[in-house]
Amino acid sequence: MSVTEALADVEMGETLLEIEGLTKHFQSDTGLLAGVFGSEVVEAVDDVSFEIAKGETVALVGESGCGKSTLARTILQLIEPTDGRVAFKGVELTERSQREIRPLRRDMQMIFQDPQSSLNPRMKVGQIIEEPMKAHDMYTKTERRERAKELLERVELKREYYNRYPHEFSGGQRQRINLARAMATDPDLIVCDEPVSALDVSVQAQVLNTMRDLQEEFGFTYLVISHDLSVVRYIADRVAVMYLGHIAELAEKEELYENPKHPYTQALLDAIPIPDPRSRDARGTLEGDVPSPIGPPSGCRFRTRCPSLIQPDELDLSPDDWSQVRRFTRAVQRRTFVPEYPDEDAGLPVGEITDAVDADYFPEGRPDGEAGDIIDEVCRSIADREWDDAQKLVTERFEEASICATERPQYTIPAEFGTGDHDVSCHLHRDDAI
Amino acid sequence: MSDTILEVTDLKTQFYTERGVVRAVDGVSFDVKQGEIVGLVGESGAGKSVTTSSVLRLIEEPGEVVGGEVDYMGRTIVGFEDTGEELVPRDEMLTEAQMRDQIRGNEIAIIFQDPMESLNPVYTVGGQVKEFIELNRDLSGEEAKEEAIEMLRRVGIPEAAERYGDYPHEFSGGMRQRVLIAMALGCRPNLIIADEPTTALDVTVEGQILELVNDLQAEFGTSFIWVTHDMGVVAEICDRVNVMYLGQIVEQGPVDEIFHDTQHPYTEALLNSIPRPDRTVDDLEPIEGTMPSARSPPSGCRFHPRCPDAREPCREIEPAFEQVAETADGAAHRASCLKHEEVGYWEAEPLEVEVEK
Amino acid sequence: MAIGEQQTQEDEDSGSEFEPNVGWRHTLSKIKDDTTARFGLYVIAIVGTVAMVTTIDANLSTITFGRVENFTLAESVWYHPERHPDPGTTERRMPPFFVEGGSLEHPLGTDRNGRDYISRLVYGTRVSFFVGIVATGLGMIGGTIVGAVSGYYGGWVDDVLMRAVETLYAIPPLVLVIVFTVFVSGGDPDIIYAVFGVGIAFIPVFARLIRSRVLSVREMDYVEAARATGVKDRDILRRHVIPNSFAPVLVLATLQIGVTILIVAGLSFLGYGAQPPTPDWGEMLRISHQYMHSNPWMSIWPGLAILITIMGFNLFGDGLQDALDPRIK
Repeated sequence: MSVTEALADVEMGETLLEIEGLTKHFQSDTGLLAGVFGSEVVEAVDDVSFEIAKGETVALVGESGCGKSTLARTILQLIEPTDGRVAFKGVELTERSQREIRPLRRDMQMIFQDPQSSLNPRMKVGQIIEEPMKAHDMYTKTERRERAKELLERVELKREYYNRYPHEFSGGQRQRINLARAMATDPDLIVCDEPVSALDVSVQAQVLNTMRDLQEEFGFTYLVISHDLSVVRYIADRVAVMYLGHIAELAEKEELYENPKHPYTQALLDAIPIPDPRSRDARGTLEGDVPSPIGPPSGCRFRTRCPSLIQPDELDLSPDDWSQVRRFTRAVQRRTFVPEYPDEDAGLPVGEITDAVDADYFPEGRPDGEAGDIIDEVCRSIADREWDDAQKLVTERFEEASICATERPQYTIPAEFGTGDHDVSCHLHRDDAI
Repeated sequence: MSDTILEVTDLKTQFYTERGVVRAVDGVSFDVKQGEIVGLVGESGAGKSVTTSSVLRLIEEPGEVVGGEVDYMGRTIVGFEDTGEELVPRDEMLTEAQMRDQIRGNEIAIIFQDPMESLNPVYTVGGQVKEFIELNRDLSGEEAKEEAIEMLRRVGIPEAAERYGDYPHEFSGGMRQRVLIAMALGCRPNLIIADEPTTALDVTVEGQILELVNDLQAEFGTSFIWVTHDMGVVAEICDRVNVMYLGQIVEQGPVDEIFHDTQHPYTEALLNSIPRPDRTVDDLEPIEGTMPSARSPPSGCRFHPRCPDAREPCREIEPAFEQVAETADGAAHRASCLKHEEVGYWEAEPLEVEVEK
Repeated sequence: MAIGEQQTQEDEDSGSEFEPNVGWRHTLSKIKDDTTARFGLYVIAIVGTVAMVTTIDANLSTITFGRVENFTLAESVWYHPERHPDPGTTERRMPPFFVEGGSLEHPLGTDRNGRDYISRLVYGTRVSFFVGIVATGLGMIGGTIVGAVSGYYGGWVDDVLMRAVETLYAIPPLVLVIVFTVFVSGGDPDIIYAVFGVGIAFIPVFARLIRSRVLSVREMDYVEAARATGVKDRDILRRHVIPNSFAPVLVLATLQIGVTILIVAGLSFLGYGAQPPTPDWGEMLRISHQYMHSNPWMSIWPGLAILITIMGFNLFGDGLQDALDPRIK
């Protein structure tokens, strides 16, 4: 039985694409001798699961380097996954060879971000649109030609553009040609990688509207990858927020925007500038940089920047004390707290350091118990100019002992808006899980 | 705080290409007051970057500033006089050497969009900041180094002293942009031109940078010209806004007026076409068509072929750039639209908008 | 340049009229504007025409030489380049007509067997053109296939192919030619072995060049788009990767034709190329260098012919490079 015959018929609203535990780890060095010298593993996508129903639009949002593009390409088997499974219309893609998957590509197409480089400059628009049909031996030559012209009209271009070269078009027009190419084989799924981020705002709206109209007409399923939460809010039905290879939160659009539960989603939403000068002060800021995907943080990957890190069980601090400890931890980690050492090598008496620390970070008094002991030890290290020890100590005791570092969170909680589930990967919501 | 430090009047810059003259900037007037952030907003091709480059006289062949005045605190950066036949630069216009020594860097600094291209990959980050400070301020090598580290710390680079010797590729995009800001601020300029400085950055990083700019601006009192296409960023940080379309400023006013008392159909359309992060919009209203070429701009009002409100006179009459609305604090709110002129706009028939997609 | 570039970029984005910067028409119009390239093209055209015309003539003369001899023009100027004249009919090693002892009957003189020098030179054009184009073409086609496959597939395919290419690169063309000659013909040198040897020796140069281009082209979105849409690898290579990587190969090929002519002339000079009585510039040099003192013109003429031909190809190649390089505008 050939692969195309194995494809199940999927009705609107039924699961079209099923992704389970999908993982992609890259070797940072792939030369002949990589095995000999060893190489670092980039954990681009790690254990991601979700489903897409026919006819819906799911968006993957996240900042650059969060693995959203890799995930999309892994789903389409353009990149071979390290682990996990992808099922498209009931066919396990991950168990099939590239040769077997090729005929299936007719039903899953892709649109690219860069309207400049996604069209072969040496091919005419007509050839570009006909190529997918040709690859799958669809229609006769004249039929293909006619269909290409029809598709041009469908994406609101002119039939006469058939014989022109891509460079004769503007960015928005080229993105429409991209759309026409993706539609040529009448696919079920179209993966759109940042479809409008290279376009001007006014043109963005044109293309987004066209995408929406076409979905209504032909029942396409979109998987949209974007860094722009505004665009996603306009086009998506469900939204998955990615951070460093994990899905942080996945929910229906209204639920995610109006009732975000993951601290990262909250920070991301806070960070978008709102086009209204009257809502200026609402903007919050997330500190720090995204950590490297080589040896990413354990447990919750957002924990190193999370403003609501859960305190380790062994400490028993009030929320205020804990936030002071967090502030102190960050200062030590970034060495923003630098005492005036007398000369090049000499340290300082511990007393001076503790006084300075107390004044700067614990004006209400240092917490006692376990936490107090750790802070004392950190101060001693700083006094002896053993910064590495101090950094290691705060990281180990105040961060890595937390549940956020020891366990990877994966919870589903009831949604306030809409009917769907609300997946949130944050231990803050472990008690709400269903 | 309300002293005008930069005044640009009727600035014109053209590019001479094989296929004709491109009037990239065609009669642009705006000013910048001490300590304010002035936005220059528009889509690509509107002439924003050419405007700022013209202000710093950084236009190169085949482009040329062909008219208008740029006055910076009494010094003439661009100035022409009419000899009867042609416009020639006036004598008091600063020479190239004066521009280099007195204006660029130490009075007016510029931050570009791509921090990787603005930093030399083979020199250390600290060294580049230090060199820039040395060039523009009278500081010895050792002092300049201290100042460089101090500036790096001020812009929020962790472990600034330790990272002084790192190379640009060891910094993330956001950190590199911070380095450029440190570089610009290190020379204590009066005015910083920021050319899409956050466009290449992620939103959370953009948030960090905007907050930093706000803090630093409050501290140093530096003025900014903020070039961007993002209305969200404009709303976030600008005090006054200039909206550009096809080489001209079509609307100019305080930020709140621009957003809440919009006077030009282009600004209006631009605001309607952006998806909102803070609420679900059912239907976006895109601006039809694409921006025409600056080589052969449309007659009359340049926006008329795409304007939803265009009427017959818009085709022929070029609107004047005039005060159109009262503002709360008396600041000017100008727009160039025939709606605000007595030319029979309201009596005329609406134009059919026919555009090529 | 930053401002200028920005302007072009903005032009592109605004969707105005575009100037096509791809395709043959654009390339030709660029070359038309370039005086040196045009000059190179003229030289190639003239030499090429000479080579083609003499092909016909040579066939005629070998088959029915007698009749050509009866043709008055042929009688006065064209002498069969390979046939040894009857003893005593022509003077040997005659100098060109403008030197004492020369005559207009043999404008550039005669060789050591008394054969007309100008007709040998002209027939030599044919050999050189054949050698240059065939050997370069061989290297180009072989190199393009190897390099494109290697660059596109990457991984172990790339490793194996590129190590093989590097090994080949380490072998001097002369050794290849000798090996070829020995193994294929059992030691009888012939120009065809020289052509094959040199062609194969050129494979690495082309393979490495196109591979480096393919490595960047395969990252282009349109290649991934073709993959995502289910186009076969073979078609992706043929329709997307190779056409977009080919420009520098074409430039190199043009420049390489000149080099090939030179190398094969050198091989002929060493006796591994064209064999007597075939008129070949290198072979003519080999013979004539013995008479450097008595009749230097015998060396100067083929030398000049080689120089002019190579110059033509090089000038044209340079112009082509400028025309095809999008960075130089």
